[in-house]
Amino acid sequence: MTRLGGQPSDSVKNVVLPVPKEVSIAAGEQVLMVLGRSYISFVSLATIGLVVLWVVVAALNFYLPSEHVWVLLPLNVFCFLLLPPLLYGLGYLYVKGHRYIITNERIVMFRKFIGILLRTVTHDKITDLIVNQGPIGRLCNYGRVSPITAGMIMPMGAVIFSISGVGSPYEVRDRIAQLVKAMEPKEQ
Amino acid sequence: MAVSEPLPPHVSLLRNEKIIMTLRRRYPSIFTSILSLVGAGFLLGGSSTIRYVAQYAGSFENVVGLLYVVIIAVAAFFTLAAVIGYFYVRGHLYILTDRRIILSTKFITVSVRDVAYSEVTDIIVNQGPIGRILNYGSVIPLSSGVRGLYALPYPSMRRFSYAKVGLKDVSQPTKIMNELFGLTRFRKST
Repeated sequence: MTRLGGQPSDSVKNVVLPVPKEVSIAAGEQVLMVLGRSYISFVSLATIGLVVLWVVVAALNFYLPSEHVWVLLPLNVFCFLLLPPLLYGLGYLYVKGHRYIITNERIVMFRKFIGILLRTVTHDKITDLIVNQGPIGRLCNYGRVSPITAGMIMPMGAVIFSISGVGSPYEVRDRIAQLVKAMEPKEQ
Repeated sequence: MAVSEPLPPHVSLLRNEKIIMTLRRRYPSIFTSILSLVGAGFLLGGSSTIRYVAQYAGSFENVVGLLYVVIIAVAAFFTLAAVIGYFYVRGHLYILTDRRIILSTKFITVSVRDVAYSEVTDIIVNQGPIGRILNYGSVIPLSSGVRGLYALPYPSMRRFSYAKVGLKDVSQPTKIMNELFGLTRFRKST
């Protein structure tokens, strides 16, 4: 995570991530943070999925009648030997394709993996900020920050189009909350 | 992107409203739609069809004859879809003015959505793998009336809409998104 403006954070890593070429910064707009997704957030999800799959395949190995055992060999080879390196390898590329750009005017959530998915939201349209951390996320200090607007409601706004798997999610939330506050009209 | 195109009769501009750009849907995008439709159809009914053919076709000559029929049927389907798709794509027109976005579709029925820049809450860009190669994709401006469920990247999860809610399959979608952000950035909802 890098901060190009504002106060430097104590706990965030000082890694400089570039803004993707697909996102252009408008005149007068200032990039404050460029965040990436942490690989561990994907690994934890993928591992849970793999373990569930392995349990199912292991149960099949025990309960399938002996005349169908020939089906299990390719299934076992795929699930236990081919799938893990494929999943973790592709997962690395998937994670590397994520960029979250926070400027003084908007948040850009960008994902480039096979296709491109991009959401841009200006701070003045954000109504709620939701932070989610799983048990592994709590241990490894990563989580999901979901900027909710009137157009991007729960649950989709909180899951698909969100700042997923970022380090120090509460700091990111606080930073966005400050920017949202700064965009609010002054009270009478 | 052109500004000199004549406006369709179902689109009218307000007083002093100026057109900034006019966009159209890209024709190649219809082929990805057709291919995904055929792919989904094959996944749903392909295996049972093959099993049925293998069971009841009888001799090898019958199978070959049936294969010719299938090839001709598929070619006829693609030709028909390409011709109809041409007129379908031609019916899409997206106009960005200095005040609002007008999304107009005219193919058998007519649907027009217009949304003021001040009401746009989020802008979503969705570009598939073929769209990345051919440089087209969809730009969906969301508002409190048209929400994210219409803009999901997974078609099976996306909510159906009889009206077009986004700038579907336009050229240079990320550039259009940046232009749209430039138009929406200083407008507050009233």
